[in-house]
Amino acid sequence: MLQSSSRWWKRGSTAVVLGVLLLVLAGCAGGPLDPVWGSLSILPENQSILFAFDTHITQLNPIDGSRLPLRDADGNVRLDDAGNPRTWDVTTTGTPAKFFAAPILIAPETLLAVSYDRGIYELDIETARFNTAEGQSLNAQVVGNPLLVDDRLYVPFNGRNLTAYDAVAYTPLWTLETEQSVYAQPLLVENTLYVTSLDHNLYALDAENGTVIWTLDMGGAVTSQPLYVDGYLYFGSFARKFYKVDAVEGAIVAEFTTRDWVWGSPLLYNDILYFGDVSGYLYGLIDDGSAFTTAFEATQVTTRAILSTPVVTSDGQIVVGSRDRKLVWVNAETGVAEVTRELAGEVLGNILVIPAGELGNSRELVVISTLARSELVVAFAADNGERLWSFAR
Amino acid sequence: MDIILNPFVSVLTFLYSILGQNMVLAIVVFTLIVRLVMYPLTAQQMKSSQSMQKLQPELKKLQEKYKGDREKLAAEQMKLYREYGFNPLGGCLPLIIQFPIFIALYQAIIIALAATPLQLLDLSGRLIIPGFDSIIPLNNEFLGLNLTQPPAIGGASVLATVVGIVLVAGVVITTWLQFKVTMPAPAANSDPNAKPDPSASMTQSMGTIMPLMYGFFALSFSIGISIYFIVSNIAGIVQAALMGRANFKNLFGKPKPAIVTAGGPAKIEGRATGKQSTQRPAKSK
Repeated sequence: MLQSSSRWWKRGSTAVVLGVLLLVLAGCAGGPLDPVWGSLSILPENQSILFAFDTHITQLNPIDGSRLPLRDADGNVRLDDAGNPRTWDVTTTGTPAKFFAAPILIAPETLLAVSYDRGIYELDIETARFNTAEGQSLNAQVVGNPLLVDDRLYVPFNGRNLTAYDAVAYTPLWTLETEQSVYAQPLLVENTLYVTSLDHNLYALDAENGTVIWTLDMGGAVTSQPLYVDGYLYFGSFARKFYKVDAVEGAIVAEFTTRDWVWGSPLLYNDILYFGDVSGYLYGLIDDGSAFTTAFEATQVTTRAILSTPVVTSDGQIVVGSRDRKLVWVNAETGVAEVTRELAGEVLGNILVIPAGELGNSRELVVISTLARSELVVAFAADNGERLWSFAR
Repeated sequence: MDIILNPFVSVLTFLYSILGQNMVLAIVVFTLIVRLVMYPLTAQQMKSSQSMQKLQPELKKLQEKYKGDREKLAAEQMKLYREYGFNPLGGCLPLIIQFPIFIALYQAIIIALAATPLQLLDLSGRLIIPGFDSIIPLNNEFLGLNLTQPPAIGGASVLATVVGIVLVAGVVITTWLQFKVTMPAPAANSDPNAKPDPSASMTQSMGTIMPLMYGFFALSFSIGISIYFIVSNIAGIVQAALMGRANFKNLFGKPKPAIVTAGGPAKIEGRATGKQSTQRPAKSK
């Protein structure tokens, strides 16, 4: 009996040792816990900031970064069972679904939230509850923001396709199969849908039926949504190139060689195209027709990747976030960093600029999200980079 | 860790580029190359482990003899090691060196497969060989299976289920085979009344638990990692066979645990390692 229990004890201890080994392996795997970064958007009806990250979608007060109180139809704050005020922070029941894409307002009181790992959910804003517990199931992960136009919902999938859904019944209408993932939100111009993919291609589709109009090989993976200006598409790729493409013909009109991969979409401000690369260089290019010229020499404003689209403040400063946990205010003419703010986590998600007074805020805000749980969302004064508030979960 | 990891990721990407952009082939060849490069260390470790196994009876005797005197026991053990030219660190050091390398190998596969945007972004800073921009991201599909995902057993696809079962079974079987084949033969003992050696029964438990544990890993981790496990295990068996250290008899019978004798001389067989091996006493041939 004793011998038997001793044997089992030894087996148990061996299992524990191997379990620890598993944890070490998993811990050393270098894989980040989150597959992708969060997204910020504005809900003007509620005068709030929507933040989707991991298992939560939260409405934040732009004045102080607190969770918005949950109110009933009469405007009274709802209370939970213990009598505490409820705040607007939602998560799905059971094993929670993950949300990284920005929810879309589809009705005055309803948000459409497409989860990374489960499906499509409708979310009642007033009660902060999902209308359906399970949502409409999807068969692959969603990384980029879906696009809702009229009765169509276009969903980019990590599982190598983009699918158009009926936006009422959420039934699939057509699918564009790609060789690799689709990370970026598609772009709709009139009736043409432009889709970029990690398979190096830019696709132009008939948005109605998904028929491919043309395909253009960009020589490297494309992770960003193109910027459309006057019949041309502007975007960068992993081929260390930034392109100008004729949106009708599907031909490259101009290209510029960058120092590293270009991940995010460009910003057009005062006829200059601003974008960053994964080595932290910021570019300012001028479109001269069939070529690009530089507004300033590419400047390494941070030491690590700039992913999100740069934003511009009302006084004309360009703001970029970086993987080296920095937010940098850059002179739009010289490309020189003028103000730098340190953060607890990597800044990879989109940046919001909220003009003064738009959501009841007295000062113009620059709002960013980070990967650090200790400061998931941080707001700065747009004019001088003063840190105003942060939100932690 | 990056000092090992980044070259690994780059070499794996390079192999992918020259092997027809086939990630499975790249993982197989890469695992074999790393195993080959690590050969001297593995050989040293195996040799040391076998020497230690052979010294066990003598050590047990010393433990019995100097039960209450730790200092004397330590001194006698060191004397014994010197006598047989055995370096107790000879087995640990290669293991310590190998461990980060195998962790890096495992991580390199995960990073190169880049299943998520953050992993793809992570890949950007790790490619120290230029010119791979045009092949990124690496094609992580093989036979319709996504190498970045765990085996989809019981999913909609029959092929995925079958391949998933084969992979998990492959990991379990090859782990068991490697364990059995590379496990040194238990030290013989003629005393039928002696109690079983606890370290031997621990080893036996490991032989049961480890394959199951790795099977669990295979179910939880990506298919790419399962392929690495299988190739690595097979390479380990072949390596042991080439070194003449494979014990295929272990496969066909349950090895009896070593018996610790309460007293009496134990004969040590085999060669001691190191310079002093030529000066061994006559009893240890």
